[in-house]
Amino acid sequence: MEIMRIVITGPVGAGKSTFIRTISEIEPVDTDRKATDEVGSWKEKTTVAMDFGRLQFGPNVALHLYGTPGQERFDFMWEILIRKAHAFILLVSSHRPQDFRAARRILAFMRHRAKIPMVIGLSHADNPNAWPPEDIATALGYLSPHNRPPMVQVNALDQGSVAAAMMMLIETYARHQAEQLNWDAVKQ
Amino acid sequence: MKITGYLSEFSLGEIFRFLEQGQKTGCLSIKPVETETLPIVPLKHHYIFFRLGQIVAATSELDHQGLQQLIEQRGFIHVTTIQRLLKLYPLSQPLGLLLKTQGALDSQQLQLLFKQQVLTPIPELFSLTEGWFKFDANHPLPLAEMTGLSAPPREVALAGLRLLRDWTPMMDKLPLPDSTMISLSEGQPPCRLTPVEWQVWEYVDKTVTLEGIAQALNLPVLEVQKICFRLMVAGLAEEIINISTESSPSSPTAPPHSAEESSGSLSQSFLTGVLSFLKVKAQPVG
Repeated sequence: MEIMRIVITGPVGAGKSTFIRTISEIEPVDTDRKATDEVGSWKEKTTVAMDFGRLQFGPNVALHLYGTPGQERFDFMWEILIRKAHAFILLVSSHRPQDFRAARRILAFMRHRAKIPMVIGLSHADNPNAWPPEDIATALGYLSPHNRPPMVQVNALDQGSVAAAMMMLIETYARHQAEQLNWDAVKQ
Repeated sequence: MKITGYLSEFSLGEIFRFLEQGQKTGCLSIKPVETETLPIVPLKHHYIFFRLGQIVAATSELDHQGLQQLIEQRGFIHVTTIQRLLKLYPLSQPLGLLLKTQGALDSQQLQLLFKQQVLTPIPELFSLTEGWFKFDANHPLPLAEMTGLSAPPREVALAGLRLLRDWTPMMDKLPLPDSTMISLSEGQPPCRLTPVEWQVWEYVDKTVTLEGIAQALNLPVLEVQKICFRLMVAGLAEEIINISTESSPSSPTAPPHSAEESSGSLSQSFLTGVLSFLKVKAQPVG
C-alpha cells in the first residue's frame, strides 16, 4: 500500500477539521479517546485530539490527512505526525491577525523539525477584514516574495477549493522530490 | 490597503516589525480604548507615519501644524515666519529639510525636534493597555510634519518595551519558558542592545531553554521571557517551541528530517494518479 501522509496544521479556528471533513471519503475520526489505524501503529493509545481523513484513489494507493490538535500545545503527537509526514498545509485565517503569532510559532516549530514541502492555505480570504496575502506572508516572517512557500486561498467548506489546495501541495511535493533526486544524482 | 485590529490581539511591537519588514509607506493611526486601569498615555489619537518601513513623523492631529508649533515652542522660529517662508517656497520636501536648506534650522535642532516629535512620545504608546489600530497605505505623507529624519521601528519598539512597566497585556505573547531561541540575524544584531539583552543574545542558537538562560544568568525567568520577546519584536530572533512532554519519543533537539527520510519517496505513478484524482474533485459539481 502506497500512502501519502499530509498534515493539516494551523491555529485554532483556521478550519483544519472542516478542511479534512470536506475532502475525506470516510467520516473523519476524532481521536479524542484513542488513536486510529495509522497513528495507532505509531502510538498505541493517546488522549490527544486529532482529525484523521482518508482518500483512496486506487486499490493500493491512498492519501491520509492528519489534523494537528486544535489547541496550541506542542506535545509528542505533533512529533509523531511530523516525523511521518510527506508534506503539510498551514491554514491561516486571513482576517484574524491575532492568529498570525500562533501561525508563526507553528511554522518555526515545523521548519525546525522537518524539511518537508508545505503550502500556506489562507481561509476567510473573502472577509472584509482579511489581510492581503503578501501582508500575511510578511507577518509570518517571509520577507522576500521569491523565498516563500506557495500560498493559496482556501474555502474549507468547498470541496473544489480544498482539492485545489491539495493539488498545489502535491505539485510542490513533486517538485521538491525531483530536485532532491537531481541533487542526489549530482552528489554521486 | 487598510489593516486594522486591536493592540491586545496584534501588539504595537508586532505591528512595527510588520511595517518595517514589509517596507510599508503610509499612516498608522492608534485610537486608545478606555480600560479599567488608569491610562498612562493620554486618550487621544496618535498618528505615526512610515516611509519604506521607517518612521518619519508622529502627530496627535492631522492639521499639519504639529511640527511648526514644536519649532516655535523650542524657540527656534516663529510660526508666522515659517508661514511666510512657505509662501515663498511651497513644500515639495519635508519641512525640516526646507528650513535647513534655507539656513533657518541646523542639523542639531532637527535632531532635537525629531526626538521630541517621534523618539520620546512613541515609546510611551507601548504602555497602552488597549487600542484600535489602522494602517492606511494610501494616506499621503505629511511633508509639513516631517523633519527629514527617520528612525527604524525596531529601535523605537525596543525603547518602548524597555520602558514598559505593566506587562499584563503582553503575558500571552511572551515566549514560553521551555522554548529555545534561534537567530534571524546574521552576525552582530543590527541594533543597539542593553548589556543584559546582550547576555541573553549570547544564548540564542545554543539550544538552551529560556529557563536555562535564566538560571545561567541568575535572572528571573519572566525577565528572560521579556528580553526574548524584545529580541523577537526587533526581528533578531524567533522562538522555537519544544515538545514539553516527557513521553516524547525523541529528543526535543533532534535534527530536522526530510520527507524522504521519514516516509520514503512516492512513486511518479502515485503522484500522477493522485493529481488526476484531485483534479476531478476540484471541478465544480453539476
